[in-house]
Amino acid sequence: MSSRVHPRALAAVTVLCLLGMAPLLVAAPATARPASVDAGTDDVTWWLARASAAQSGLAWSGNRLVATWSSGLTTSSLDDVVHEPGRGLTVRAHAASSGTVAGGGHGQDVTMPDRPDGTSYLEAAAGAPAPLSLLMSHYDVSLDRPGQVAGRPAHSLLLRRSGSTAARLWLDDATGLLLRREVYDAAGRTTAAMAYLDVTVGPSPAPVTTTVALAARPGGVDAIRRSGWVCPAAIGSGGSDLVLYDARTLNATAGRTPIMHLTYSDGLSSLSVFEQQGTLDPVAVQGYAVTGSGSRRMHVRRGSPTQAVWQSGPTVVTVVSDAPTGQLAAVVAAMPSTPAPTTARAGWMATASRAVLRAARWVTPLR
Amino acid sequence: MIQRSPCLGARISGLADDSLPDDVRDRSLAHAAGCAGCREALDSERLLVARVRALPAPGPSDALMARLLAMGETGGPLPPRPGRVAGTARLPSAVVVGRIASPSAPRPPRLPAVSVRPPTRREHRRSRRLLAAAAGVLGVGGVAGTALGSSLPSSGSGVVPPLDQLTLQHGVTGRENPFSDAGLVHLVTPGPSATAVPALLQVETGR
Repeated sequence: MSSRVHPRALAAVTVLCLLGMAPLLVAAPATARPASVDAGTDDVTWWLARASAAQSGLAWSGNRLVATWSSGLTTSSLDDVVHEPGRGLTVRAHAASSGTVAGGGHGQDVTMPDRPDGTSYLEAAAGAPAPLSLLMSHYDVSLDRPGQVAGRPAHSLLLRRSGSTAARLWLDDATGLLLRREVYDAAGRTTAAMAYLDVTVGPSPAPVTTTVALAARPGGVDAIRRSGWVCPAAIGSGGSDLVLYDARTLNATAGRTPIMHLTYSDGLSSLSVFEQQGTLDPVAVQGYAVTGSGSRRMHVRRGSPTQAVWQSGPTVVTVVSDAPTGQLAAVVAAMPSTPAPTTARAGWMATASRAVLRAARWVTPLR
Repeated sequence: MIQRSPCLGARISGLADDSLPDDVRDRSLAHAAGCAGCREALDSERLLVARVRALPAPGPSDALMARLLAMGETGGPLPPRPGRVAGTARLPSAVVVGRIASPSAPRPPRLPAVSVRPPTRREHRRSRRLLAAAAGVLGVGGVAGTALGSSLPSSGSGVVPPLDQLTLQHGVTGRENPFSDAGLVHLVTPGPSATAVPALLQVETGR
């Protein structure tokens, strides 16, 4: 792959980078429709930055297929998707297999904004890794081949790690929109796929200004830890680690249990860790499979994405993840394994248990 | 083996091993998402492909390899064959699990003899006490466990993670990461909160 940098591409990257940095500044226009640029450059950074900008700045609608394959579990879903800059992505699943988590969501619109509300602890911290830089640092990205997806000319990018192909992304030549995404396991089998069957790019929208009020949040990860939350900087080890890139507190209003939300990624897979202080109510995880034992007892619901809940010391940890299942074990290993705090009833149980054991020792002749 | 699905026919095999052209595969997958029969056929075909791929590469068996290698060796005298050869005296040989034991082979060492004596009356009494104590402990433990267990389906005051909303929050945050799966999440169950993602997100703005 040639490393020649097209001057036009360089200018586009500069503009896009500035647009990408805008939300980090105080009250700045965050989104704008990306300029239509001729395809042909072989600078993968240009392609990725353009796709990233199109994801939030472009209006489009289409019919999308989402499918995952793992050992013993197949999920598939056919969605109607509409994206409006400034409002977010509205998804309606109109067909889904029974194995998918989307099973109950048929016919109902779900809108996800382009950006989460509020402020991440890490945005104010210098050097917080952006998802795009995570992708570039974890994978060897190269431009692969031209083709067509949903009847539109597209180029595919190849993501390689440790010598094998990890994923392939097809990006629309005209707009940069991600049209197809495939993820492969180490043996080269497809484990997840997303593809648009048809897509319509809407009329040029008026530039949308979303004001993101950023408060000064000094400290980043240290501030989270000082507040009593467990906050690993990365999950996993070696080249396959997921790096913390977003952290925010939910339910911070009075009278509601605050939830710390930590988001990890390697640019391709994402993993969310939610922490809540207290003792897990078993009702919450009815129907979940139980794995592990003792302080590593975990309630898991596999799907797309996988959910896992467990008690870690005084904290209830919930993990939602699209990452390979091996990463789940890494999260468990990263959290404290001290036993759950004893509630009043549990304390009474422990006292009763100790009494029974003491009586057993007393009546047992072989002491 | 090529399986056939009700609608996709033999294409189901190509779909399972990723050998179809991209556009054909996308259309087939889209159909399978809404067709239970084809989805079932695809699942079983994928399982079959996975199992076949998991099989080790075929090769000669260990026994065959051992015999082939042995053919190349100079070798020693052939072992005596069981049974009597005509014209020779019968030898007291015995076959011990695949090998022939000759009378001259060393015998395995004998284990020391264990003296077996009937238990005394005092030991009988001790055993009865032990059994009675164990039964008592088990009884008390069982009653206590049953009583406690029946009253513990839910503490009522524990933490119930709002899993649907956390899953959506995962998707919302993940949308900042345009190449990840996070933006593809859906709800487990529909509900009023389904369309109101920010409802949960009373995000702290100054801690």
